[in-house]
Amino acid sequence: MENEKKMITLKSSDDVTFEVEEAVVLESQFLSHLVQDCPAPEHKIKEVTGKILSKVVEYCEKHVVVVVDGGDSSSSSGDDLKKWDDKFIKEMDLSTVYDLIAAANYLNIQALLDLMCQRVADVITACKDHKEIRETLGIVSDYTAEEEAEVLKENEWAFD
Amino acid sequence: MSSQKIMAKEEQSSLIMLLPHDVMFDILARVSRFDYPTLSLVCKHFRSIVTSPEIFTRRSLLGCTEHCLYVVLANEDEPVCSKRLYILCPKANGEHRLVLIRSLPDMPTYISETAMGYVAVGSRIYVFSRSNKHDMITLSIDCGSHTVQLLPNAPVTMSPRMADVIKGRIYVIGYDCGWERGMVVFNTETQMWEPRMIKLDKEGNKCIDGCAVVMTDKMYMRNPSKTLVYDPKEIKWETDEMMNLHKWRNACVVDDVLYYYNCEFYNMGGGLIAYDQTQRCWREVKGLEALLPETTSSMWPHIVSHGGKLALFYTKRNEIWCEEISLETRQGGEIWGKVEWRKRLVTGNFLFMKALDVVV
Repeated sequence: MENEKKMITLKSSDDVTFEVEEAVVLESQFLSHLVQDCPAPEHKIKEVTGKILSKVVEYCEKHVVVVVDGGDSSSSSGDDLKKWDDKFIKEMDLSTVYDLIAAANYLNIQALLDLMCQRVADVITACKDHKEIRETLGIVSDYTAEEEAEVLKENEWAFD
Repeated sequence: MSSQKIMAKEEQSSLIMLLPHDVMFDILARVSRFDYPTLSLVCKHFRSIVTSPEIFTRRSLLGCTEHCLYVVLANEDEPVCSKRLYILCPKANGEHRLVLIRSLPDMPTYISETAMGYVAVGSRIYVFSRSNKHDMITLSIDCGSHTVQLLPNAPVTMSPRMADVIKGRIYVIGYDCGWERGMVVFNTETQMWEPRMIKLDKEGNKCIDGCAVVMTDKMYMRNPSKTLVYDPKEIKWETDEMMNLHKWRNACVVDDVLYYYNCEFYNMGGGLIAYDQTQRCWREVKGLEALLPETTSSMWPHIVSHGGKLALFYTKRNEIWCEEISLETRQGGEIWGKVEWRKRLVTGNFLFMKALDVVV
Protein backbone atom coordinates (compact mmCIF):
# COMPACT_ATOMS: atom_id res chain seq x y z
CA MET A 1 0.00 0.00 0.00
CA GLU A 2 2.77 2.37 1.09
CA ASN A 3 4.30 2.43 -2.39
CA GLU A 4 1.03 3.05 -4.17
CA LYS A 5 0.46 6.50 -2.69
CA LYS A 6 0.00 8.98 -5.48
CA MET A 7 2.21 12.05 -5.20
CA ILE A 8 1.32 15.48 -6.52
CA THR A 9 3.51 18.53 -6.89
CA LEU A 10 2.20 21.96 -5.98
CA LYS A 11 4.03 25.04 -7.18
CA SER A 12 3.57 28.42 -5.51
CA SER A 13 3.35 31.81 -7.22
CA ASP A 14 7.08 32.31 -6.57
CA ASP A 15 7.92 28.82 -7.92
CA VAL A 16 8.53 27.00 -4.66
CA THR A 17 7.53 23.36 -5.12
CA PHE A 18 5.96 20.99 -2.59
CA GLU A 19 5.57 17.30 -3.20
CA VAL A 20 2.57 15.98 -1.29
CA GLU A 21 0.42 12.88 -1.15
CA GLU A 22 -2.87 13.04 -2.99
CA ALA A 23 -4.74 12.66 0.31
CA VAL A 24 -3.22 15.97 1.47
CA VAL A 25 -4.44 17.74 -1.64
CA LEU A 26 -7.95 16.38 -1.06
CA GLU A 27 -8.21 18.50 2.13
CA SER A 28 -8.72 21.42 -0.25
CA GLN A 29 -11.92 21.35 -2.24
CA PHE A 30 -10.43 23.64 -4.86
CA LEU A 31 -7.40 21.36 -5.35
CA SER A 32 -9.54 18.19 -5.33
CA HIS A 33 -11.46 19.50 -8.31
CA LEU A 34 -8.27 20.69 -9.99
CA VAL A 35 -6.57 17.28 -9.60
CA GLN A 36 -9.66 15.45 -10.81
CA ASP A 37 -10.23 17.67 -13.80
CA CYS A 38 -6.61 17.93 -14.84
CA PRO A 39 -4.50 14.88 -13.98
CA ALA A 40 -1.11 16.57 -14.47
CA PRO A 41 1.69 15.73 -11.99
CA GLU A 42 2.32 19.41 -11.18
CA HIS A 43 -0.12 22.21 -10.38
CA LYS A 44 0.77 25.86 -10.21
CA ILE A 45 -1.14 27.92 -7.63
CA LYS A 46 -0.64 31.47 -8.80
CA GLU A 47 -2.49 33.11 -5.94
CA VAL A 48 -0.43 31.70 -3.05
CA THR A 49 3.21 32.38 -2.18
CA GLY A 50 5.70 29.70 -1.14
CA LYS A 51 5.77 30.97 2.45
CA ILE A 52 2.01 30.61 2.81
CA LEU A 53 1.71 27.43 0.77
CA SER A 54 4.26 25.75 3.07
CA LYS A 55 1.96 26.58 6.01
CA VAL A 56 -1.08 25.28 4.14
CA VAL A 57 0.74 22.03 3.29
CA GLU A 58 1.96 21.67 6.90
CA TYR A 59 -1.61 22.07 8.17
CA CYS A 60 -3.17 19.68 5.66
CA GLU A 61 -0.48 17.00 6.19
CA LYS A 62 -1.07 17.09 9.93
CA HIS A 63 -4.82 16.84 9.57
CA VAL A 64 -4.71 14.05 6.99
CA VAL A 65 -2.38 11.88 9.12
CA VAL A 66 -4.66 12.09 12.11
CA VAL A 67 -7.77 11.20 10.17
CA VAL A 68 -6.07 8.15 8.60
CA ASP A 69 -4.40 6.98 11.82
CA GLY A 70 -7.24 7.96 14.06
CA GLY A 71 -9.49 4.99 13.34
CA ASP A 72 -10.84 3.72 16.60
CA SER A 73 -7.68 4.44 18.61
CA SER A 74 -9.06 7.09 21.00
CA SER A 75 -10.30 10.60 21.30
CA SER A 76 -6.82 11.76 22.24
CA SER A 77 -5.99 12.18 18.56
CA GLY A 78 -8.63 14.92 18.53
CA ASP A 79 -7.08 16.54 21.61
CA ASP A 80 -3.58 16.22 20.14
CA LEU A 81 -4.79 17.83 16.95
CA LYS A 82 -6.28 20.69 18.92
CA LYS A 83 -2.99 21.20 20.76
CA TRP A 84 -1.15 21.13 17.46
CA ASP A 85 -3.59 23.71 16.01
CA ASP A 86 -3.08 25.97 19.05
CA LYS A 87 0.69 25.84 18.65
CA PHE A 88 0.37 26.34 14.87
CA ILE A 89 -1.58 29.60 15.25
CA LYS A 90 0.28 30.95 18.28
CA GLU A 91 3.53 31.15 16.38
CA MET A 92 1.99 33.21 13.61
CA ASP A 93 1.93 36.99 13.25
CA LEU A 94 -1.28 38.66 12.11
CA SER A 95 -0.14 39.40 8.57
CA THR A 96 0.60 35.67 8.06
CA VAL A 97 -2.84 34.91 9.52
CA TYR A 98 -4.47 37.22 6.95
CA ASP A 99 -2.50 35.61 4.12
CA LEU A 100 -3.50 32.16 5.34
CA ILE A 101 -7.13 33.24 5.54
CA ALA A 102 -6.98 34.44 1.95
CA ALA A 103 -5.28 31.18 0.89
CA ALA A 104 -7.71 28.94 2.83
CA ASN A 105 -10.60 30.89 1.37
CA TYR A 106 -9.25 30.57 -2.16
CA LEU A 107 -8.28 26.89 -1.83
CA ASN A 108 -11.53 26.19 0.03
CA ILE A 109 -10.09 24.50 3.13
CA GLN A 110 -12.91 25.13 5.59
CA ALA A 111 -11.23 23.82 8.76
CA LEU A 112 -8.15 25.99 8.22
CA LEU A 113 -10.31 29.02 7.42
CA ASP A 114 -12.30 28.44 10.63
CA LEU A 115 -9.13 28.13 12.67
CA MET A 116 -7.68 31.37 11.30
CA CYS A 117 -10.92 33.36 11.63
CA GLN A 118 -11.16 32.21 15.24
CA ARG A 119 -7.59 33.41 15.81
CA VAL A 120 -8.44 36.93 14.61
CA ALA A 121 -11.66 36.85 16.68
CA ASP A 122 -9.62 35.88 19.77
CA VAL A 123 -7.18 38.73 19.14
CA ILE A 124 -10.13 41.15 18.95
CA THR A 125 -11.73 39.71 22.10
CA ALA A 126 -8.49 40.16 24.05
CA CYS A 127 -8.51 43.94 23.39
CA LYS A 128 -9.90 46.12 26.16
CA ASP A 129 -11.51 48.79 23.99
CA HIS A 130 -12.01 50.02 20.42
CA LYS A 131 -8.75 51.98 20.48
CA GLU A 132 -6.79 48.86 21.30
CA ILE A 133 -8.58 46.96 18.52
CA ARG A 134 -7.61 49.68 16.04
CA GLU A 135 -4.02 49.63 17.24
CA THR A 136 -3.72 45.84 17.21
CA LEU A 137 -5.29 45.38 13.80
CA GLY A 138 -3.76 48.56 12.37
CA ILE A 139 -7.10 50.13 11.52
CA VAL A 140 -7.37 53.86 10.98
CA SER A 141 -10.72 55.20 12.15
CA ASP A 142 -12.85 56.80 9.44
CA TYR A 143 -15.24 58.42 11.93
CA THR A 144 -15.42 62.11 12.58
CA ALA A 145 -15.61 63.05 16.26
CA GLU A 146 -19.34 63.76 15.85
CA GLU A 147 -20.00 60.43 14.18
CA GLU A 148 -18.10 58.57 16.88
CA ALA A 149 -20.12 60.30 19.58
CA GLU A 150 -23.30 59.27 17.76
CA VAL A 151 -22.24 55.59 17.63
CA LEU A 152 -21.31 55.78 21.30
CA LYS A 153 -24.79 57.09 22.08
CA GLU A 154 -26.47 54.32 20.08
CA ASN A 155 -24.59 51.73 22.08
CA GLU A 156 -24.82 53.42 25.43
CA TRP A 157 -26.23 50.25 27.02
CA ALA A 158 -22.93 48.48 26.65
CA PHE A 159 -20.68 51.06 28.25
CA ASP A 160 -20.37 52.16 31.85
CA MET B 1 3.81 60.47 13.88
CA SER B 2 6.42 60.10 11.14
CA SER B 3 5.23 59.59 7.59
CA GLN B 4 6.87 56.17 7.57
CA LYS B 5 4.83 55.12 10.57
CA ILE B 6 1.65 56.36 8.97
CA MET B 7 2.46 54.43 5.84
CA ALA B 8 3.18 51.29 7.81
CA LYS B 9 -0.14 51.66 9.58
CA GLU B 10 -2.07 52.21 6.40
CA GLU B 11 -0.39 49.25 4.79
CA GLN B 12 -1.34 46.99 7.70
CA SER B 13 -4.80 48.43 7.82
CA SER B 14 -5.36 47.53 4.22
CA LEU B 15 -4.44 43.93 5.08
CA ILE B 16 -7.43 43.15 7.27
CA MET B 17 -9.67 45.40 5.20
CA LEU B 18 -8.64 43.52 2.07
CA LEU B 19 -10.02 40.23 3.36
CA PRO B 20 -13.11 39.09 1.46
CA HIS B 21 -16.34 40.56 2.84
CA ASP B 22 -17.65 37.09 3.61
CA VAL B 23 -14.57 36.26 5.70
CA MET B 24 -14.96 39.48 7.73
CA PHE B 25 -18.45 38.26 8.64
CA ASP B 26 -16.97 34.94 9.71
CA ILE B 27 -14.44 36.65 11.97
CA LEU B 28 -16.80 39.11 13.64
CA ALA B 29 -19.54 36.47 14.06
CA ARG B 30 -17.13 34.66 16.39
CA VAL B 31 -16.76 37.64 18.72
CA SER B 32 -19.17 37.93 21.66
CA ARG B 33 -22.27 40.06 20.96
CA PHE B 34 -21.46 41.98 24.13
CA ASP B 35 -18.36 43.29 22.28
CA TYR B 36 -20.38 44.48 19.25
CA PRO B 37 -20.85 48.01 20.60
CA THR B 38 -17.05 48.24 20.92
CA LEU B 39 -16.64 46.85 17.39
CA SER B 40 -19.06 49.48 16.08
CA LEU B 41 -16.71 52.15 17.37
CA VAL B 42 -13.66 50.75 15.57
CA CYS B 43 -14.56 51.91 12.06
CA LYS B 44 -17.52 52.24 9.69
CA HIS B 45 -16.83 48.92 7.99
CA PHE B 46 -16.96 47.01 11.29
CA ARG B 47 -20.11 48.86 12.27
CA SER B 48 -21.85 48.02 9.00
CA ILE B 49 -21.11 44.32 9.64
CA VAL B 50 -22.14 44.05 13.30
CA THR B 51 -25.35 46.02 12.76
CA SER B 52 -26.47 43.98 9.74
CA PRO B 53 -29.09 41.26 10.17
CA GLU B 54 -26.81 38.83 8.29
CA ILE B 55 -24.29 38.74 11.13
CA PHE B 56 -26.85 37.09 13.39
CA THR B 57 -27.70 34.52 10.70
CA ARG B 58 -24.00 33.81 10.38
CA ARG B 59 -23.62 33.40 14.14
CA SER B 60 -26.26 30.66 14.14
CA LEU B 61 -24.73 28.94 11.11
CA LEU B 62 -21.34 28.86 12.86
CA GLY B 63 -22.83 27.82 16.19
CA CYS B 64 -21.48 31.01 17.79
CA THR B 65 -24.75 32.22 19.29
CA GLU B 66 -24.97 33.29 22.94
CA HIS B 67 -27.80 33.11 25.43
CA CYS B 68 -28.56 36.60 26.76
CA LEU B 69 -30.95 37.36 29.59
CA TYR B 70 -33.34 40.26 29.08
CA VAL B 71 -35.43 41.52 31.98
CA VAL B 72 -38.59 43.64 31.94
CA LEU B 73 -38.86 45.87 35.00
CA ALA B 74 -41.58 48.36 35.90
CA ASN B 75 -40.35 51.48 37.66
CA GLU B 76 -42.96 52.54 40.18
CA ASP B 77 -41.24 55.85 40.86
CA GLU B 78 -42.08 57.11 37.42
CA PRO B 79 -45.47 58.77 36.88
CA VAL B 80 -46.79 56.18 34.43
CA CYS B 81 -45.05 53.19 36.01
CA SER B 82 -43.03 52.63 32.85
CA LYS B 83 -41.93 49.17 31.84
CA ARG B 84 -38.49 49.03 30.29
CA LEU B 85 -36.25 46.35 28.88
CA TYR B 86 -32.88 45.63 30.50
CA ILE B 87 -30.06 43.28 29.53
CA LEU B 88 -27.86 41.31 31.89
CA CYS B 89 -24.27 41.92 30.76
CA PRO B 90 -21.36 39.76 31.83
CA LYS B 91 -18.31 41.80 32.85
CA ALA B 92 -14.68 40.90 32.26
CA ASN B 93 -14.19 40.12 35.98
CA GLY B 94 -16.95 37.49 35.92
CA GLU B 95 -19.49 39.82 37.55
CA HIS B 96 -22.80 40.73 35.95
CA ARG B 97 -24.66 44.00 35.71
CA LEU B 98 -28.15 44.90 34.60
CA VAL B 99 -28.23 47.63 31.96
CA LEU B 100 -31.21 49.62 30.72
CA ILE B 101 -31.50 49.57 26.92
CA ARG B 102 -32.27 53.23 26.35
CA SER B 103 -32.72 52.87 22.61
CA LEU B 104 -35.84 50.76 23.18
CA PRO B 105 -39.09 52.52 24.08
CA ASP B 106 -41.32 51.83 27.08
CA MET B 107 -43.12 48.53 26.77
CA PRO B 108 -46.87 49.04 26.23
CA THR B 109 -48.92 49.21 29.41
CA TYR B 110 -52.60 48.57 29.81
CA ILE B 111 -54.36 48.82 33.20
CA SER B 112 -53.48 45.44 34.67
CA GLU B 113 -49.78 44.67 35.07
CA THR B 114 -50.30 41.18 33.77
CA ALA B 115 -52.34 42.14 30.73
CA MET B 116 -49.68 41.11 28.30
CA GLY B 117 -47.40 38.37 27.15
CA TYR B 118 -43.71 38.28 26.35
CA VAL B 119 -42.13 35.46 24.38
CA ALA B 120 -38.52 35.01 23.29
CA VAL B 121 -38.07 33.18 19.99
CA GLY B 122 -34.47 32.95 18.80
CA SER B 123 -33.01 36.45 18.65
CA ARG B 124 -36.38 38.21 19.02
CA ILE B 125 -38.74 39.12 21.81
CA TYR B 126 -42.41 39.28 20.90
CA VAL B 127 -44.61 41.49 23.04
CA PHE B 128 -48.39 41.10 23.07
CA SER B 129 -50.32 43.83 24.81
CA ARG B 130 -53.48 45.84 24.57
CA SER B 131 -53.59 49.49 23.75
CA ASN B 132 -55.83 52.02 25.44
CA LYS B 133 -58.07 51.76 22.44
CA HIS B 134 -59.72 48.41 21.93
CA ASP B 135 -57.01 46.75 19.96
CA MET B 136 -54.11 44.52 20.57
CA ILE B 137 -50.52 45.59 19.98
CA THR B 138 -47.91 43.12 18.80
CA LEU B 139 -44.28 44.18 18.86
CA SER B 140 -41.21 42.37 17.68
CA ILE B 141 -37.92 43.41 19.27
CA ASP B 142 -34.75 42.53 17.38
CA CYS B 143 -32.24 41.84 20.14
CA GLY B 144 -29.31 42.03 17.74
CA SER B 145 -29.88 45.65 16.78
CA HIS B 146 -32.14 46.59 19.72
CA THR B 147 -34.80 47.91 17.40
CA VAL B 148 -38.53 47.45 17.60
CA GLN B 149 -41.07 46.72 14.89
CA LEU B 150 -44.86 46.92 15.04
CA LEU B 151 -46.52 43.76 13.73
CA PRO B 152 -49.96 43.48 12.14
CA ASN B 153 -53.07 43.29 14.29
CA ALA B 154 -54.40 39.99 15.55
CA PRO B 155 -57.53 38.66 13.80
CA VAL B 156 -59.52 39.10 17.01
CA THR B 157 -59.37 41.96 19.46
CA MET B 158 -58.06 40.49 22.63
CA SER B 159 -56.65 41.45 25.98
CA PRO B 160 -53.68 39.10 26.23
CA ARG B 161 -52.86 37.34 29.48
CA MET B 162 -50.18 34.83 28.62
CA ALA B 163 -48.25 33.52 25.66
CA ASP B 164 -45.81 30.77 24.83
CA VAL B 165 -44.24 29.23 21.76
CA ILE B 166 -44.40 25.72 20.29
CA LYS B 167 -42.40 24.99 17.13
CA GLY B 168 -42.27 28.59 15.96
CA ARG B 169 -45.97 29.30 16.61
CA ILE B 170 -46.83 31.63 19.46
CA TYR B 171 -50.07 30.85 21.27
CA VAL B 172 -51.52 33.97 22.85
CA ILE B 173 -54.26 33.46 25.41
CA GLY B 174 -56.50 36.24 26.57
CA TYR B 175 -60.00 37.61 26.85
CA ASP B 176 -62.02 38.59 23.83
CA CYS B 177 -64.55 41.45 23.81
CA GLY B 178 -67.17 39.31 25.55
CA TRP B 179 -64.68 38.40 28.34
CA GLU B 180 -64.48 34.85 27.03
CA ARG B 181 -61.04 33.28 26.99
CA GLY B 182 -59.63 32.44 23.62
CA MET B 183 -56.38 31.75 21.91
CA VAL B 184 -54.85 33.25 18.78
CA VAL B 185 -51.75 31.98 17.02
CA PHE B 186 -48.88 34.02 15.57
CA ASN B 187 -46.57 32.20 13.18
CA THR B 188 -43.01 33.52 13.62
CA GLU B 189 -41.84 32.01 10.35
CA THR B 190 -44.41 33.71 8.14
CA GLN B 191 -44.75 36.65 10.59
CA MET B 192 -48.52 36.33 10.16
CA TRP B 193 -51.46 35.69 12.42
CA GLU B 194 -53.45 32.55 11.80
CA PRO B 195 -56.98 33.54 10.89
CA ARG B 196 -59.12 31.90 13.50
CA MET B 197 -59.42 32.05 17.27
CA ILE B 198 -59.30 28.82 19.27
CA LYS B 199 -61.90 28.72 22.05
CA LEU B 200 -61.01 27.61 25.56
CA ASP B 201 -63.42 25.42 27.49
CA LYS B 202 -64.98 26.23 30.87
CA GLU B 203 -61.90 25.15 32.83
CA GLY B 204 -59.66 27.11 30.50
CA ASN B 205 -61.57 30.21 31.41
CA LYS B 206 -60.22 29.97 34.95
CA CYS B 207 -56.53 29.86 34.04
CA ILE B 208 -54.10 31.79 36.18
CA ASP B 209 -52.63 34.73 34.34
CA GLY B 210 -49.09 34.51 33.05
CA CYS B 211 -48.73 30.88 33.99
CA ALA B 212 -48.08 28.84 30.84
CA VAL B 213 -45.12 26.60 30.03
CA VAL B 214 -44.29 24.38 27.08
CA MET B 215 -43.07 20.79 27.55
CA THR B 216 -42.80 18.04 24.92
CA ASP B 217 -44.50 20.35 22.39
CA LYS B 218 -47.60 20.80 24.55
CA MET B 219 -48.66 23.85 26.50
CA TYR B 220 -49.46 23.57 30.22
CA MET B 221 -51.53 26.01 32.24
CA ARG B 222 -52.80 25.93 35.76
CA ASN B 223 -55.97 27.07 37.46
CA PRO B 224 -56.85 26.66 41.14
CA SER B 225 -58.08 23.11 40.70
CA LYS B 226 -56.49 21.73 37.56
CA THR B 227 -53.52 21.71 35.26
CA LEU B 228 -54.68 22.02 31.68
CA VAL B 229 -52.75 20.71 28.72
CA TYR B 230 -53.14 21.91 25.17
CA ASP B 231 -51.90 19.66 22.41
CA PRO B 232 -51.69 21.68 19.17
CA LYS B 233 -51.38 18.53 17.05
CA GLU B 234 -54.75 17.26 18.26
CA ILE B 235 -56.19 20.75 18.86
CA LYS B 236 -57.39 19.32 22.16
CA TRP B 237 -57.49 20.35 25.82
CA GLU B 238 -56.90 17.80 28.59
CA THR B 239 -56.20 17.82 32.29
CA ASP B 240 -53.13 16.45 34.07
CA GLU B 241 -53.75 15.27 37.63
CA MET B 242 -50.13 14.46 38.43
CA MET B 243 -48.95 17.91 37.48
CA ASN B 244 -51.55 19.47 39.67
CA LEU B 245 -50.07 18.03 42.86
CA HIS B 246 -48.05 21.23 43.11
CA LYS B 247 -49.27 24.78 42.75
CA TRP B 248 -46.50 25.56 40.28
CA ARG B 249 -46.17 29.10 39.07
CA ASN B 250 -43.66 31.33 37.26
CA ALA B 251 -42.08 28.14 36.02
CA CYS B 252 -39.71 27.31 33.19
CA VAL B 253 -38.72 24.16 31.32
CA VAL B 254 -35.22 22.75 30.74
CA ASP B 255 -34.89 19.49 28.77
CA ASP B 256 -38.59 18.74 29.19
CA VAL B 257 -38.39 19.07 32.98
CA LEU B 258 -40.45 21.82 34.61
CA TYR B 259 -38.87 23.88 37.40
CA TYR B 260 -40.53 26.29 39.76
CA TYR B 261 -39.44 27.91 42.98
CA ASN B 262 -41.58 27.66 46.05
CA CYS B 263 -40.60 29.80 48.99
CA GLU B 264 -44.08 30.17 50.43
CA PHE B 265 -43.97 26.91 52.39
CA TYR B 266 -40.25 26.53 52.62
CA ASN B 267 -40.33 24.72 55.93
CA MET B 268 -42.64 22.18 54.28
CA GLY B 269 -40.49 21.06 51.41
CA GLY B 270 -40.12 24.32 49.56
CA GLY B 271 -37.26 25.46 47.39
CA LEU B 272 -36.59 24.52 43.81
CA ILE B 273 -39.01 21.84 42.66
CA ALA B 274 -38.81 19.82 39.45
CA TYR B 275 -41.42 17.88 37.53
CA ASP B 276 -40.16 15.24 35.14
CA GLN B 277 -42.79 14.72 32.48
CA THR B 278 -41.39 11.42 31.15
CA GLN B 279 -41.22 9.84 34.63
CA ARG B 280 -44.30 11.73 35.77
CA CYS B 281 -42.83 12.56 39.15
CA TRP B 282 -42.14 15.62 41.28
CA ARG B 283 -38.87 15.99 43.15
CA GLU B 284 -37.00 18.57 45.13
CA VAL B 285 -33.76 19.83 43.60
CA LYS B 286 -30.98 19.11 46.10
CA GLY B 287 -27.99 21.18 47.09
CA LEU B 288 -29.73 24.57 47.27
CA GLU B 289 -30.73 24.61 50.93
CA ALA B 290 -28.70 27.77 51.58
CA LEU B 291 -30.88 29.63 49.09
CA LEU B 292 -34.12 29.31 51.06
CA PRO B 293 -33.50 31.83 53.86
CA GLU B 294 -32.50 34.38 51.20
CA THR B 295 -35.70 34.06 49.24
CA THR B 296 -38.36 33.80 51.95
CA SER B 297 -39.39 37.43 51.77
CA SER B 298 -39.98 37.25 48.02
CA MET B 299 -43.59 36.93 46.96
CA TRP B 300 -43.29 34.78 43.87
CA PRO B 301 -39.79 34.13 42.59
CA HIS B 302 -39.52 33.78 38.82
CA ILE B 303 -37.37 31.19 37.20
CA VAL B 304 -36.20 31.22 33.60
CA SER B 305 -34.14 28.82 31.55
CA HIS B 306 -30.82 30.34 30.55
CA GLY B 307 -29.03 28.12 28.04
CA GLY B 308 -29.61 24.90 30.02
CA LYS B 309 -29.08 26.60 33.38
CA LEU B 310 -31.67 28.36 35.51
CA ALA B 311 -31.82 32.02 36.42
CA LEU B 312 -33.81 32.66 39.58
CA PHE B 313 -35.16 36.19 40.14
CA TYR B 314 -36.49 37.22 43.53
CA THR B 315 -37.00 40.31 45.61
CA LYS B 316 -35.44 41.08 48.97
CA ARG B 317 -36.69 44.28 50.61
CA ASN B 318 -36.45 46.82 47.77
CA GLU B 319 -33.84 44.87 45.87
CA ILE B 320 -34.12 42.47 42.94
CA TRP B 321 -31.65 39.61 42.98
CA CYS B 322 -30.61 37.02 40.43
CA GLU B 323 -28.95 33.66 41.04
CA GLU B 324 -27.71 31.43 38.27
CA ILE B 325 -28.12 27.74 39.02
CA SER B 326 -26.48 24.90 37.09
CA LEU B 327 -28.22 21.52 37.09
CA GLU B 328 -26.90 17.99 37.29
CA THR B 329 -28.96 14.79 37.10
CA ARG B 330 -27.38 12.03 39.17
CA GLN B 331 -28.00 8.29 39.21
CA GLY B 332 -31.50 7.42 40.29
CA GLY B 333 -32.82 10.62 38.76
CA GLU B 334 -31.91 12.96 41.64
CA ILE B 335 -31.39 16.52 40.41
CA TRP B 336 -28.71 18.64 42.07
CA GLY B 337 -28.40 22.37 41.68
CA LYS B 338 -25.39 24.59 42.22
CA VAL B 339 -25.40 28.37 42.49
CA GLU B 340 -22.90 29.62 39.91
CA TRP B 341 -23.22 33.28 40.84
CA ARG B 342 -25.59 35.62 42.62
CA LYS B 343 -26.01 39.32 42.13
CA ARG B 344 -28.17 42.18 43.34
CA LEU B 345 -29.47 43.66 40.10
CA VAL B 346 -31.28 46.82 41.18
CA THR B 347 -32.36 48.70 44.30
CA GLY B 348 -35.46 50.89 44.33
CA ASN B 349 -39.14 50.78 43.54
CA PHE B 350 -38.92 48.27 40.74
CA LEU B 351 -41.38 45.53 39.94
CA PHE B 352 -40.06 42.43 38.26
CA MET B 353 -42.24 41.61 35.24
CA LYS B 354 -40.49 39.02 33.15
CA ALA B 355 -37.12 37.54 32.25
CA LEU B 356 -36.40 36.17 28.77
CA ASP B 357 -33.65 33.98 27.40
CA VAL B 358 -32.74 35.32 23.97
CA VAL B 359 -30.32 33.59 21.61
CA VAL B 360 -28.23 36.01 19.51
